[in-house]
Amino acid sequence: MRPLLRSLLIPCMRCTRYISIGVLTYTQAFDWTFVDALYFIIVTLTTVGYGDLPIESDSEKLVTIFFVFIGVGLIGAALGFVLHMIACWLGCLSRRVGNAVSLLVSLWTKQTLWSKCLTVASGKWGPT
Amino acid sequence: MEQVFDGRIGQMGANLIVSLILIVVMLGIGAGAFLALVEDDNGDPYSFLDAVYFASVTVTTVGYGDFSWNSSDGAKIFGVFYLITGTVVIAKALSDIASIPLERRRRQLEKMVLAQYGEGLSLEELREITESSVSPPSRTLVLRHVHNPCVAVRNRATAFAPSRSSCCSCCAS
Repeated sequence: MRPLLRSLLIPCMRCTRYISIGVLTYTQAFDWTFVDALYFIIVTLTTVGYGDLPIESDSEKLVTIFFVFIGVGLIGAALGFVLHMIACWLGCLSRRVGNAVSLLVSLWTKQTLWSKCLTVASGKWGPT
Repeated sequence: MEQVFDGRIGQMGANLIVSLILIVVMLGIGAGAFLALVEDDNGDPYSFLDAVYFASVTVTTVGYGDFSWNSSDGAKIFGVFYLITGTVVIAKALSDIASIPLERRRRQLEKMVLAQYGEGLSLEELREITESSVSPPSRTLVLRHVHNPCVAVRNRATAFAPSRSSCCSCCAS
């Protein structure tokens, strides 16, 4: 397996385990539906927090306090790895996009009129 | 000497284009799904502006809660995937865009240092100067030296030009 993916494996497994424990807790202890529990947990742990699902009883509040404190840290660490991986992919992608755009623009600038327009537009034109 | 735009947009320009495209695509996906999956209390779909507003509030993790995916199970499931991917991708794109002025400043500084020291620096020394210059104290050190070459840079003089007795030509003894 590639090293980038391997570095992602353990944090992702940890997060999955944590989220499934959370879903189990909310569904079994508080009688939420599976979808509600998963939705609430993801909305909470990504720090979006719509607040559309009510937390009413004291036991729910107590569980949520500990769940949020541990979970945001866990998810933050995992997202750091994901961000690093996306950065690598995006770097590759944007290099290709940059080359493609550069090629297009240089093809365009072969024509003299466009060349002058683009030189002026790019701000690099000036009296010699 | 006339400078002609040769069509190269560089790494920063490419980053900017890709980031903008990513933001527009993620907002579009979110807004489209919101329009398709979520209905208001009367059963009518929301307006396009509402959808784009909702998508932006979501992916920036602000989350006012005046709109949400809370209408059907399908919408909630989509919301789970959209939250995970959207927040991460938008965070990356925004941080890329935010790093463009910093990168430009770093290059400017690099150019200034190069103009000052010319070939007296090896690649590692140049990198050390320009990257350490992100923190304020050493940046002022380098800048002060660039503006006034006769000011000796005490603790970094040996790192700048180890082979010379003086750090610049104007005050060489």
